[in-house]
Amino acid sequence: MRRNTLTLEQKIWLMISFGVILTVSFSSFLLDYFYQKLYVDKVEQTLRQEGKALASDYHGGAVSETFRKQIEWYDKKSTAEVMLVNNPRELSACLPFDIHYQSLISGKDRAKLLNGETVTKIGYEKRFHRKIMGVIIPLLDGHRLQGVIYLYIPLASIQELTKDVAMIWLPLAALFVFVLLFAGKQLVRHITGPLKEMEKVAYHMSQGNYEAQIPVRTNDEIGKLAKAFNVMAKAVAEEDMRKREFLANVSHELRTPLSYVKGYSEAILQGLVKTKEEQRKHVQLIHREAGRMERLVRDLLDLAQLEGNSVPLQKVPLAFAQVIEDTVAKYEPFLRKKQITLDVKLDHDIILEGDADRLEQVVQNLLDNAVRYTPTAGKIKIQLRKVDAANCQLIIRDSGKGVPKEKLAFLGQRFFRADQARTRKEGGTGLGLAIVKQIISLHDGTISFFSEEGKGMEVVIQLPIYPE
Amino acid sequence: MRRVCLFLFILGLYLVYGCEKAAFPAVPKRPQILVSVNVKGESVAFFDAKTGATLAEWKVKKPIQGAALLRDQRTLLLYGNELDRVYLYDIHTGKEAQEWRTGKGIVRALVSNKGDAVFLADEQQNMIRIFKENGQEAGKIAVGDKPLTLLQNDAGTLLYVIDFRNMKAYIVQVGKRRVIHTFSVPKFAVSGLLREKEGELWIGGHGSGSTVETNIHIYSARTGAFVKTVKAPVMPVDFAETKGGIYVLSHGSSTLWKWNDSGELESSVIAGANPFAMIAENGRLYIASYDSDEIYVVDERTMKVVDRWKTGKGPFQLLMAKGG
Repeated sequence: MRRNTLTLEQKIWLMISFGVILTVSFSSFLLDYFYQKLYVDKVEQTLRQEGKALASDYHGGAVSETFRKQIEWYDKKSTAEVMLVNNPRELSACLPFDIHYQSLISGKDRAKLLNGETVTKIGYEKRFHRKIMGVIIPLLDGHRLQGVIYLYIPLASIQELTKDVAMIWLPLAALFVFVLLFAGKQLVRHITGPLKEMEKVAYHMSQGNYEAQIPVRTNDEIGKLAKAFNVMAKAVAEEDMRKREFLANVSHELRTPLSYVKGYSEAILQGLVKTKEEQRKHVQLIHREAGRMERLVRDLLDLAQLEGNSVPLQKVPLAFAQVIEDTVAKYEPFLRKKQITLDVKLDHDIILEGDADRLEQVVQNLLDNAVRYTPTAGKIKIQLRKVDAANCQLIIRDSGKGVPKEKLAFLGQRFFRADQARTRKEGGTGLGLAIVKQIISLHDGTISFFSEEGKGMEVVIQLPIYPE
Repeated sequence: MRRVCLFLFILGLYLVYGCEKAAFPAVPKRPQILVSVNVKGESVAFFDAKTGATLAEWKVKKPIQGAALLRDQRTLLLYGNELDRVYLYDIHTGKEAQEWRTGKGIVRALVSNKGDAVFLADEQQNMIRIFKENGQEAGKIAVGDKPLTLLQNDAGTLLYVIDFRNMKAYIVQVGKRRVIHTFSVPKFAVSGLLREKEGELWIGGHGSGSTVETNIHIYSARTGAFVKTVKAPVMPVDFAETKGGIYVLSHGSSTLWKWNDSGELESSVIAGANPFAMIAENGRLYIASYDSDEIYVVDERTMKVVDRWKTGKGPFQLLMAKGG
């Protein structure tokens, strides 16, 4: 099937033109109709009144000569033609006989007149050889149709009047149509302009140029669409930037341990390492960096899986407190080593529907961070509590140096580190919180960070409770 | 199979009912029954001529133009120029007695005063066709264009045919089936009165074009020679002669004129609205008032309207059935 080749602009304009022309023609038809009807009706009414007034002087019996004279006199004075007809032939009195005569009054009219009704004629009358508007008033003596008064005016005089109106109306209507069509064209252009710009910008974007913005001139649907389009363009641009940044980060993160591995292994290979002791130290360093790379790759894979949802969560109802306790147990040696006091307060009644491994990963990553940033002899507090019937909160608070307020918003972004310099020493991949955020979101929960610089950091995770 | 049977049964019923002759209400017997043929309403009304009581009304629903009573005074023959046959009904049973397939164009019927014959005037064949009372066609006589008026002498041997269009009248010798005289009459002449004793033929008419007829034309009944005119405005269309005088009905002025035996105009009266037909009986004149759908009853002596009876729409012809 062939696609419609008309543009939206053409379509709207066609619609407007159609509407305008239809309206104008309809109104002109109405005008003509009412003018004719009202005027013709008025004329008919006048004729009828005159005729009835004349007929009121007839008092039965044969039509008298005086009455005829009276009508003739009136005919001379009146603008209408007035006739008195009493020839039975003209009144179709011989109707049952086929007398080959075109009577002035037809058989049908005669029947009406006999009933005392008046007859109205509009149109061509053979007898008068022209179009007329006429009224026929019967002169009845009981059932005897003694005659009729026939009043008429030529229709030409009425049509001349309508012609006058047409002379004024037609040019005005034409002008009106022209102006409306022109205005319509402008209007359509105004409406569809932003759409055209959007089209252009979309093409630019497809070629990687995210900078172009559509000027928003109105606040209507099109204006809103333009605004939304701009927001979308910005979002796409940001996403694109994040992607580049991520790639840069990944390569950077990989390059650092790689250069360690390369450097130390080269030193060993070139025999720069003299003692066994030194060699062992080098190999240890290589091993450590390899481990870091492994973690990094693992985390990246994890994140990719979580974000792409390629490995769905294995959700089962579980006691969240148990998961937390199991994880905390693994950290006991590190805590002891750093002499950190752990304060754990768990509500064992809380049941979640969740993936135990992933939730463990959440607790683990958060504890990793907490332990990492908490100084020796510091404090970590873990609390699990019900907020309301449907939600619970896991709060992990450390006594580390915290994160500046302005950076809180960036926590959870991939490779974001509050303190760039510290990272190497602390040994995180920069992906831990991003993974946590992703897992929590997949559990329909929220995560928030509260911190003041120097006063530690509080992570609050809110998760829905499994409805029993 | 059952369906087919049912269908055939219904078809059969339909055919039986369809073929059954139409029946009308029977007309009770009265010494004199006035029959009014109403062309506008396509009906026939029957009145007791004495009391004016309506005896029956037949809604014929066919374009009938006129009727004739056969000699038995009970068989009513209905015709119309649009009908392809004439219908004969027994008025006392209301049943159809016969149909004569005449073809279209029958404009007048006259029952012969002599013997077994009905004259039908045919405007398509331009003939006077003679039928026996059993429907058998017994002869034809070629006449003018539209032989609308048929008159006959008392003996039924001579037929006067007045043509409506071609301005001619014919005297026909029935026995020999031939025209013996042709003479000129005014255009649209219609109806007439044969005064055998006086040897006069009075002919009425409508007048031609916008001129309306105001005169009766009198001709010699023997030769057709023009004798004189008598004023009877406007448009004299029916005649009757009794012992009381000659009566002429003019439809244009709705006037009934009366001449005495010596040919003097005695009186006139306005009767009816556009009346076309008149019949004299019992010292009364019955007048069919076409526009008011009435029968006017006029006393022929006093010339006063003595009664008015409502009939069907457009009474156009009156007949009298006697001795039923």
